[in-house]
Amino acid sequence: MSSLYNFLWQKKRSYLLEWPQIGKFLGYSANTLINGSLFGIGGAFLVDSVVEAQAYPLHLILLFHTFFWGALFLPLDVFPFYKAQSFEFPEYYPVSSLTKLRINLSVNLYRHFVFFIVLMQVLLVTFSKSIGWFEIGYSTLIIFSFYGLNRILKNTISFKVRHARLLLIAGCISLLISCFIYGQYGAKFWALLISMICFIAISWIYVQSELTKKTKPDVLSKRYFGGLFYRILAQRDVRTLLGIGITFKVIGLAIFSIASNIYGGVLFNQNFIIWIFASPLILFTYLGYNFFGVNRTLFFTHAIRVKSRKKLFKIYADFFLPLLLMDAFIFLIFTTVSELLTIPNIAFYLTCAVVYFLTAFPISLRTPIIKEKYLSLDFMGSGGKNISWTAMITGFAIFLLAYFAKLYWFFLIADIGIIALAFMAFHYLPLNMSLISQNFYEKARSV
Amino acid sequence: MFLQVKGVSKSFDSEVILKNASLEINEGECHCLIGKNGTGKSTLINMIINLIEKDEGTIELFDTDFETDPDLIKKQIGVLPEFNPVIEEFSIQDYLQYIGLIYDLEEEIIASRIEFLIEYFFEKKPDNRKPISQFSKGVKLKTGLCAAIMHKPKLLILDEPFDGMDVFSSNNLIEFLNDYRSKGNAILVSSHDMLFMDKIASHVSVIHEDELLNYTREQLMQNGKSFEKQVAEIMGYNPKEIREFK
Repeated sequence: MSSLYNFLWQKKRSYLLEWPQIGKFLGYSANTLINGSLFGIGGAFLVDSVVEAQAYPLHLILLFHTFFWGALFLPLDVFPFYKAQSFEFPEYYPVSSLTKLRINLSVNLYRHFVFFIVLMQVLLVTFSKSIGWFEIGYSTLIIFSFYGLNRILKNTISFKVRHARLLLIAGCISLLISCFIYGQYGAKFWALLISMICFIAISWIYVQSELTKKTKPDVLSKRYFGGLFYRILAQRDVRTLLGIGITFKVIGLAIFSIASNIYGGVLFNQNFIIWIFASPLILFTYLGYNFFGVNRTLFFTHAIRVKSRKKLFKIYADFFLPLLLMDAFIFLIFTTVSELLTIPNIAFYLTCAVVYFLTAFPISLRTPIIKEKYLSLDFMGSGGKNISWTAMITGFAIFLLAYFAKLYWFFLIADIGIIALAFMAFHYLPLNMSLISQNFYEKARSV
Repeated sequence: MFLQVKGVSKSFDSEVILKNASLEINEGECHCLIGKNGTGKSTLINMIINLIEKDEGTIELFDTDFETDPDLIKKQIGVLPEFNPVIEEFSIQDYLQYIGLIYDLEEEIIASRIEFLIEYFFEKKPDNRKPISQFSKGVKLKTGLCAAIMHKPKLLILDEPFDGMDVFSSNNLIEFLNDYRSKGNAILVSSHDMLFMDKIASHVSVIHEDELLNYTREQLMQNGKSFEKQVAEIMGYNPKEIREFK
């Protein structure tokens, strides 16, 4: 079987070293290098300044840092972006479990995100005066324990694994014990030893899931949902993206609300990170700006039957308005709890909602990213680069600048301008549905 | 005996798909599995190749089962399942080479078989720099088919091999299958296409109302009716009258 292993390695190498893959590979590597340096060196100076000012203890800062990056590992590769990276062997192929494990551990090992984490941690300890090797080692161990759980999660979701639920529960318990020990006794050597044992346990559970996994045939009895909203929501990718997005949003806002109530508003109240979480930005990431890319069967079903943009807009609005209402409710709870319910804040939220809602529709029609699987949080691994992402981030940065500069009149102008523009475009600049359908078909064909 | 299915039953939730199904396949036979949409043809094939578990009964391949000697079975069966698992990022040639390596074939044998299969099943040699994802459904199907045949299995199991294939390629496949079984191999194939099934079947297994009914070709054809009419009769098919389509 070593020839199979060598063949896959050689294919992986040639796949990465050919144009355009090499461009992507180098691009992502450079991106990872820059991000790793920014977060590592920048983080080191930030941690030192906070520790010197005695605002927060080092352990608390590292705890937040570790859990944040660890949690980002959890959804990674649950739905792989690059199918080439995960070689599946259906049951009828004579490939031993050990060969499968070996190929999985080696050929699929390299992830930009893993490289990013290691680089960031090394730079953090090198440039920081307050963080030592013990602290960074312990933090890295916990982050990679999250990665271990992610691997177990991936196997139990994507494959039929013997005792899947038991393995997943055991993995979660091991991680929880490790996190609890780290949080409570993070500075002690024996705590590190226990976390190491937990890490070994997680790795062992992962190997078990890898050795017993089987291809999962299509489920024959799926629950059918009535309304269009629920049918779109019933799609696994949509559900996952939304679930991850909303969970991050709620966790992020909850942490900031608690922190601002405990420590007062100096550090937390007007932070731009709060507004990334509080605005509807996360809701529209991919799912909004790539609505018809994610739901391409829905698009084709309608586009080949009715050439009416109004009907397509109705589908889009029927799905997004209830979600926007839910998002607004989360925003309302957050602003009320943290005493941030002010007119400028509401204006900021509403402007983002209006602008994203109206611009996401035409952009998702014109520049869909059509992939087998979607995962917006895999930003270090591959990610989809298109103008929608740039447009959304640029728009958000402009609103934030206006918000911090207290140019609130800008929101009113943006609202009126975008609504007027959308109204005019809708009535006087009809979308060429034939061209859009052709564009979709070509992209879908080259998935 | 290449395959022996004995008293196999399968249900999904409360829906019974197969009840007490039995089937035997021996050297040189071609069994055509026929049934209406959703009657359990793919379910039966998935149980035979160990993708899904059976509720009751036994399935033996080459006088053993997947629990006892999976390696022996896996090396002697070739499968084109319903979901056709081609790796779309590979070129057709690379994918077939990959399959050859899975079965531990020698490099020279892999090269000669790829050449033979491509020359026989494809109109022209596919571009080796083009990934499978950029080919049509029919070409992907042919690739999956070549992958199933690559290691010359004793038992070939094909789920809907004619679905999406043009008529000329289908005829080539029919010729190939008839020649293949005449050389001491066996075939289990599911399809809706009676015309093609008529040309390859030595045995017919019909799934009708969760039962598997087995016939030899001679039994099926003894009353002089056409293959299609005879199968339709077993399946209880009556042509429907067309009312006015308002």
